[in-house]
Amino acid sequence: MADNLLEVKDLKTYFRTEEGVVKAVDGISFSIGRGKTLGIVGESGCGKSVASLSILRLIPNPPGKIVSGSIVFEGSDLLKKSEKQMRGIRGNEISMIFQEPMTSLNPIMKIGTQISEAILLHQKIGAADARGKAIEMLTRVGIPMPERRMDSYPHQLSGGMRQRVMIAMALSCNSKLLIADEPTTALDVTIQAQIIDLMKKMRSEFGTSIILITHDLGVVAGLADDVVVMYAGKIVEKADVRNIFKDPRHPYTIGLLQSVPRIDQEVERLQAIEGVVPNQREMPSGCAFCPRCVRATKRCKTEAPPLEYFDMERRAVACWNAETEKIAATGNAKNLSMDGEKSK
Amino acid sequence: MGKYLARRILTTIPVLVGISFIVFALVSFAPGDSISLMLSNETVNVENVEKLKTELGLDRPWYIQYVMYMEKLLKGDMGRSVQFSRPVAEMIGEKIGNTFKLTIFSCLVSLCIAIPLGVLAAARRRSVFDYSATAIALVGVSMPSFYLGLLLILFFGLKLGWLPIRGLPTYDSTLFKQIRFLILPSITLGSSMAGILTRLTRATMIEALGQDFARTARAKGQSEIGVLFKHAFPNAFLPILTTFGMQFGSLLGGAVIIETIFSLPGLGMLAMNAVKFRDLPLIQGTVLIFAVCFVAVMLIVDILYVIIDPRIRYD
Repeated sequence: MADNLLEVKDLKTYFRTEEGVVKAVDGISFSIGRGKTLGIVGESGCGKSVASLSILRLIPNPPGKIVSGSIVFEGSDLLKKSEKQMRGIRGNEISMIFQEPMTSLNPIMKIGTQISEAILLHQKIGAADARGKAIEMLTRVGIPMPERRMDSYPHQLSGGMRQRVMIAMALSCNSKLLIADEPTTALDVTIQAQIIDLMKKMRSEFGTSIILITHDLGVVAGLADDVVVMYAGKIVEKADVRNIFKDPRHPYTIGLLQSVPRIDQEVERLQAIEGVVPNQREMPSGCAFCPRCVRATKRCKTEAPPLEYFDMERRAVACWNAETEKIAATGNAKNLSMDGEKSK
Repeated sequence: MGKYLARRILTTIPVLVGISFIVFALVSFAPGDSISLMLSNETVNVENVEKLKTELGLDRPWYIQYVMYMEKLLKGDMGRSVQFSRPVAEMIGEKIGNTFKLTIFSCLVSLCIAIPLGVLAAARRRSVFDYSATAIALVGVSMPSFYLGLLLILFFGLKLGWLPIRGLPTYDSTLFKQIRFLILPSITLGSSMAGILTRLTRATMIEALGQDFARTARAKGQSEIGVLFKHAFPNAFLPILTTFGMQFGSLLGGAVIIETIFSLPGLGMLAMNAVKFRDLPLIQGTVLIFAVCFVAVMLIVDILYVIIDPRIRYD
């Protein structure tokens, strides 16, 4: 555990709305090692983006508020730091890239100025040196003719180029942790692959740890070392990437995997998870996934399952029926997409 | 940009011709005429009236008069004032400086109030400051300028005696003295624009602060002041600029009333007198100058668009 760059413990981020309190992130804990990549997976609205924004303390307050927990980065709790200290960390030690690179870049500012701004905010160098460093970063992320591109505006670049610029900006101060919030969602499939390759390259060149937030399991498979699966503001399963794909235990994780098309299998119809994520204000008293779960029992309806660790604390699952899942999953070891009819 | 500019300037010509035509037609069809007013104190001699009408070309059909007027205008001759028997261009030249000072100073007053107030209201949303800014803006927008002018005269001019309430000092007086005379009329004239721009600045700033690029700036480590002024404000400025351009027209219209209230010898007062006296060349001249000013401001706004927002390209 000492090697961990970031440790999040029992983080709770709530939003106060007119209809009541929305528990967007409700007591999640995870950690990430140096140079490692952690994938946070889940459907839209499960709280993964709020979790990432909480790390940088960028939750708009009001209405949002980090209610409790700790976010220990390099040994010190980010929740105890002043706003000024946090500004010194943002973009410097921890950087973030977002889903939509077109709107995430300032449309009326040259990209060179935007990259240099990040450098000038954290490094004691002059404008000319910052420009030089920005050109170097653009070269490293594979932007052709970087000197010329410095004077381009975001709308003059393609989607993939813009995301490269975002990555260049995020890594311009040699950040130790990069939070990538759906970095490939708004891009074409071919460009997605290029961006994933670039992130891998940057990770090995800079030794940056990455928190990868996505709903795309393909991206997770290609990049992550460990995976956290979130559902309705809580973590339902944690494991290394191999186990998540080979031996998923939570019915939600299994459902997510079943809904992904596989190139090596001919499936006429993909399995979808029935129903939708419950409204935060109408959360069931037991397990939040219960109304959609094909294996739900009486106990699931009344008692919320805790996240239980096993396999020498390398894995965790929050399901009363995890053992049953294990048997079911083992029975289908060669075929990850379980037969929906049989499981019913 | 050069091409666009040339095209844009050319399109203003039909606008100005159209305005001159409409004003000419309206004044020509209005009852009463300047000759009768000119001769009202003298023994009316029909022969004299007809002679004067022939001299001024008023005996011809109005459209012929219009063509004659336009012919002269193209040569730089705006005609002679019927009332004062002086060249219109010369009279406008004497007064335009005062109106120019009044409108520029009013714009400055309203921008200096609206932008800081709107930005801070957006930055401290739903705070006492925000509600106060909204209340101030509401007063600015709702209060008729002539009423506000009278209140200001009564309070700051007559009761406290801090500021002069009428006229303007001569051109050679000190800048401080000139500004002192302009304070009350400028606040009166600029208050409505300030109210509208405060509300607009607040709304566009709130929108800009919620955009993804503002979040990126914060994630970079930029301070809230930096996010406000370096990122959000330049993006929020475009709609403010558009409204500013449109409001400038109302400001020119308002100048006519404010100059009368504060007895400022400007174009507005000149136009008012011209209308009272049916002094057609003078009405034509002043309205045309107002129209040119408005068209010029809109042209400047269009050019500023291109400079501020690189996504806009007209060529």
